[in-house]
Amino acid sequence: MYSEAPRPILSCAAMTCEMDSVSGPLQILQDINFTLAPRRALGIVGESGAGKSMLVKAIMGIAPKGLKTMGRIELEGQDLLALKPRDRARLIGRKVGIVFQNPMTSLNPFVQIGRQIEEAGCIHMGLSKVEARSRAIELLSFVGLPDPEDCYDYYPHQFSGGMKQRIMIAAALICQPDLLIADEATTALDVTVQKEVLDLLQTIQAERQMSMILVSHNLGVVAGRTDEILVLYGGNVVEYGPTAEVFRNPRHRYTEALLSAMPAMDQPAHTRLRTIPGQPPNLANRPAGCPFAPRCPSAQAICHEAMPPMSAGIHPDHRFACHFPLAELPRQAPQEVAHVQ
Amino acid sequence: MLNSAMPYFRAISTRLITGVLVFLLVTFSATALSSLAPGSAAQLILGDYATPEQIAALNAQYGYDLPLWQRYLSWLGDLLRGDLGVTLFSQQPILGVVLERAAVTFEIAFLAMAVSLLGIPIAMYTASHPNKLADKVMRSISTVLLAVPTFVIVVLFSYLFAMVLRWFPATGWAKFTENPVANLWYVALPVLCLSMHQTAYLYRVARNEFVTTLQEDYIAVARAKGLPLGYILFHHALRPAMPQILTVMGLSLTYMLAGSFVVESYFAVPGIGWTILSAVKSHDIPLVQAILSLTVVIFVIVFMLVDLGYALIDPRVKVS
Repeated sequence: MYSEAPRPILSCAAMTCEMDSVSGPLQILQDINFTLAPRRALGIVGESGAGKSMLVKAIMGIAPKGLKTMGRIELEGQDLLALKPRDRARLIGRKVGIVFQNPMTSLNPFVQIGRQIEEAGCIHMGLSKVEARSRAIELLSFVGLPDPEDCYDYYPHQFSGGMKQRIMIAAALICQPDLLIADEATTALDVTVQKEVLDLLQTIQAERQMSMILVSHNLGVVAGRTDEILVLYGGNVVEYGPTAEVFRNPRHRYTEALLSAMPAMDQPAHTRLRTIPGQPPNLANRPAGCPFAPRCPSAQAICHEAMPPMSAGIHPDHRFACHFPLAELPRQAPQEVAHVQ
Repeated sequence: MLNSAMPYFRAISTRLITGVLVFLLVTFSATALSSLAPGSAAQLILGDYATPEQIAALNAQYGYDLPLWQRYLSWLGDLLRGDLGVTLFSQQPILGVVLERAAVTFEIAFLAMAVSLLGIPIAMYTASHPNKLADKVMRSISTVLLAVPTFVIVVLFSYLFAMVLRWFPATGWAKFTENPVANLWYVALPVLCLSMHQTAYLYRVARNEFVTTLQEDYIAVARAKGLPLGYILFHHALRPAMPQILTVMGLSLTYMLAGSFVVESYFAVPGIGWTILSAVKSHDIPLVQAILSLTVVIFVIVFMLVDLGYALIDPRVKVS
């Protein structure tokens, strides 16, 4: 499974993002490293302010003005940071489809949805009006909208939130991208619709043989749907590895705390949920050592002084940055992780 | 086709009905103005040295001795017949005079409006490059233009373009129907002066609208799709910004259609503004009343068009 090494779709190496503020440059993201192979799914998790959305925006090149991105981001071997902004936007628009958090505001209320779905195809692939229309209608029916022919001419306010997110997905697929990014794509939807949309994303990824990045604050969302998982905390990667492995045997104290904060189905009703005491770090006032140290029950003196290096577990792809990692469980044959949600 | 047009018919007719009510209210007040004037209307028109016979004759001719409601009804009747009588002094038919003057003002107003539309593409460009040089320069220019009163602009421009550069005549008039080229030549300076404020105002409103619109999530989505900036501006930002811009355009247009006193009197343009000014000075009450009525009609029509414009621009607005 890990023996062959096909050219990755996306890789980030030593990626750091800085933003100027009144109190000097803020490090929004520090030393992010990951690679995403074709047809695989990556989950990016972390709490609010961990830098998930900023990571996606920096990769897409749509970060707010003033954000400086350093390091290397490669899309199919092409160094994105070396490209001119216009070429980069065109390449990303062609190769990457993205679905944002809030379907209510992500569609332009003044433009017919058919147009919003097909426009990238017209511009990047030179589709004619007729081709674009038929492809948009095909995608509308593919994402499960009833009467796609009629829907083509409708405006966004004529759809519910779940339907709008399906439309966003259709729009993300128009150029037949190699990578689909869902940035908290289901957070704004209600729970039953969330599951439908997530299942749709998973089906699409499998059917179209794309890579996918699922960004979420909800571990349940990424659990059964991703191959690898990247845990962000305070702008740092604290743990990165195969999803099954990380869920079975979390090594970083933060990942472990996150996992045990999830409600479990086998607990009796009204069991108190575990929480992580304290607040996420203030980026303007970063602790010198591990960003999680102030909230970590097992923190020692060194945790407050030195940033822990990335170390590997028995599983070669499982990495974590912790001075005092949790004990390693004996290795198991890889197995399917049940849907936690 | 007919089905989709039906709501518009209904919207227009309801607006027209309210418009008629506003029209009646304002014209009634205009009639009442002559009763509010000190002394009698005839006294006011004829001046302090009028003999009682002259006053009685004028009262009989214009009905100023009748009660207010009777005078108003007879004025309405005259209006419906299309005969508002003659002006007090030149004895020309009022309707003809007003329409002729209105045509002049309308020409200037629409040309000035067309010039001020330039503010929109400039706003688009500067809003998409905020705090760059062009943005800063345009912001300063528009601030200065808005701060300088029209009567100063008028003097400066006529000095610069008519006296120093000698591009355009400082005063004078030629009818468009008689000599269109000369007409455009005479109209150039008034149009330029009138459009300065409007352009600056429209620019500022449009720039702020575009800046706000460009922060919307759907613009981030459009950028993530890799769409070119020009496409994003015209296909995703223009329509959302339009309602606000349309409001300002409607206000500007009514303001200009009602006639600019300063510009018209300075350049001796025979438009509505100039006419109402001289009519007020000479106590030509019937003429003043006719022009006021026309102004009301203009306001009602322009605001109705703006309302319909909202419905055409924003698919979420239901015409009702």
